[in-house]
Amino acid sequence: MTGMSNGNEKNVSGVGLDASKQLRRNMMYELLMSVPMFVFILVYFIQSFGYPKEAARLPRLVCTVSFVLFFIYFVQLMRCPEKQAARVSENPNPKKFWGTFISVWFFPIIWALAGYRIAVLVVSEAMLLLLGVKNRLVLVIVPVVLSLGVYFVFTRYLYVPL
Amino acid sequence: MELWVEALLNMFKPTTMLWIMIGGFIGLVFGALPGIGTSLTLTLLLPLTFHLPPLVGLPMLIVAWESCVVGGSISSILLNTPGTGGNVATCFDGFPLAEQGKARVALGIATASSMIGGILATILLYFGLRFFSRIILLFGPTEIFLLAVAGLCLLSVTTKGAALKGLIVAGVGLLISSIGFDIISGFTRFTWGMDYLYEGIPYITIVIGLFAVARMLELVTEKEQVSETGKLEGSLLEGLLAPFRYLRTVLRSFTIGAIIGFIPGLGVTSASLIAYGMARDSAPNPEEFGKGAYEGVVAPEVANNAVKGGALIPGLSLGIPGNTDTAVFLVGLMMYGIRPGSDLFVTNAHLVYLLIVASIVAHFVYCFQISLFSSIFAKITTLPLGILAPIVLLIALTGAYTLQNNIWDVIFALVFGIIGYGMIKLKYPVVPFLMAVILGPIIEANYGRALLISGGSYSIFFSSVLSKVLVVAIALSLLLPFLQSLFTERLGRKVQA
Repeated sequence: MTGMSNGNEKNVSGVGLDASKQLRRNMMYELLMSVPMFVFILVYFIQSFGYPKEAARLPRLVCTVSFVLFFIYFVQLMRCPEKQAARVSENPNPKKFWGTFISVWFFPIIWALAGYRIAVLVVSEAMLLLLGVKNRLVLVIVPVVLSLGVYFVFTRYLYVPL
Repeated sequence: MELWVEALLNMFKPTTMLWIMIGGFIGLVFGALPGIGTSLTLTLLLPLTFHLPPLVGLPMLIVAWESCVVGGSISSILLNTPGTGGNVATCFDGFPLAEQGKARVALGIATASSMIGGILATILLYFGLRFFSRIILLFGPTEIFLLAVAGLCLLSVTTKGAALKGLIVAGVGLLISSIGFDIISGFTRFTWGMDYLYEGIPYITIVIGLFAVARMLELVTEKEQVSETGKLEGSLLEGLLAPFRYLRTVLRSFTIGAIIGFIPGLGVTSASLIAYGMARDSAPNPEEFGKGAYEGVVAPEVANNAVKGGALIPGLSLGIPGNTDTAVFLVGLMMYGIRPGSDLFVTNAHLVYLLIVASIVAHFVYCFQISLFSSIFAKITTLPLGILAPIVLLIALTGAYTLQNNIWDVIFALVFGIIGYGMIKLKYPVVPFLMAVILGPIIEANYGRALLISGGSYSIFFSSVLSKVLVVAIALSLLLPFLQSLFTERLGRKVQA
């Protein structure tokens, strides 16, 4: 899954962008992940000084080893950016990205705002509309059945108060 | 003998049978969907099994796992798109067979080969577990600590082209696993005053985030539809009988799969590819491979099922999962409070026997379901992502919530989903991270115990022969990427010369 090329990669040799610009962008992507991880380790390391010896022993050891690894990683990144900088897979279909993204993510948002049953109802309705379903009967029945089905399974069978 | 009888009685209870049928069906459906994979299927089932008793939930999980691997061959054969990583090599000859109008024959071969490979793997698992449960008694806290570190290092550095990143994310994973109460001192760490974090982040929340949420994000941003269309033609029975004509290939592929499964980090894909390659090289008519050779389907399918048996031996006996699927399954075990390790045969022997029986029954379950519903599975492969992704996300997030009825589980699943998505996009390996989270408590507890025994002296890690061997193994595993690149460079120079 990771470490594999999918044919949509653009790195320093990417077409359409100036090589140095592309490299800078790839470096930015690379730092996007590594810097937060470094900050997390650093914060944990600093916090560990407030813990008793037994509780801090392993985290401190892991932090120290991670700092060494990060040092090697950053040195490699600076010495040989072409080789190390991330080759980020670019979305082959950027126009559809936000549409699909929203169709996936608005379920948790509505869940948080309106509760689970309403969220299932709204999401399934929206999904059907997005898929181009025009049959009114389907548009009414499917979301209701799905919403009630999920509610029934979780509350009656699994005893989860939704 | 009593334990076998107990396991059989538990297995054939109507409730258990009903749930394993459901698990088998879900496994086949999700396995047939390219891009979902075994880990994600198991992840989605974990919250459901959590609400079932272990005697029902664990067999269901095992059956779903076995079925998922076979389900992957459906899309390999019909669409030339592997359903799971282990079915990559099945495409090479499975799809040409489908093109010749023998899709059902190919599916029969895949089913029977999986059955043979899976049953042999289960027998190996039983004897392997018995053997290792005795060996593990020789291990003290020092050796267990070193063994877990060696497994983690090996798994991190075997990530192709990202050994350093693998080690870094393993470090982050270890730190995340240490959040909450310390087992030895009882002190809480890195909780920021949040009650939710006092007992640490549940494994399952992390697994749901890393696999379900991140994978769905990856799929919807890269593909519009899972696959095109597939048709089933030919005779299933002809295919079911075919693997018995290639017993040498079956045994060879099984051995390859079991060995590769046993070594952490090598993975199911490499096992099926190597088995395919060896079957082709030793076949009397290698030119037929790639054009619809039956052996070309037998070899990878036997191997990918054998991997499970090999990977579960260190997973269940030592607590070191050989691959992601095993790691997710171990999360399922831990969810029930069952810790893999030496005392698994002592404290939960009835469950071990039940798992073995379930592994055998699983093959008959999917065989039965494939013969009944193969046409439905073929149609499912055409499901568009617009429908699939929200459904998977809905199941996953609901699953996260149902664990403790705590919204923080959902929030953390989303956070880990975003982290996982970032890791996938930026080529950071996810597997070492998950392994570190799982192995973290084992590593920390045994590290603490070892130092308590030695009074704080680090010389304990070099005291016995076994610990010295393990230290050398850790050092070698860390040097592996450098040795690999050195070897590749030299080989390149030789080729140029």
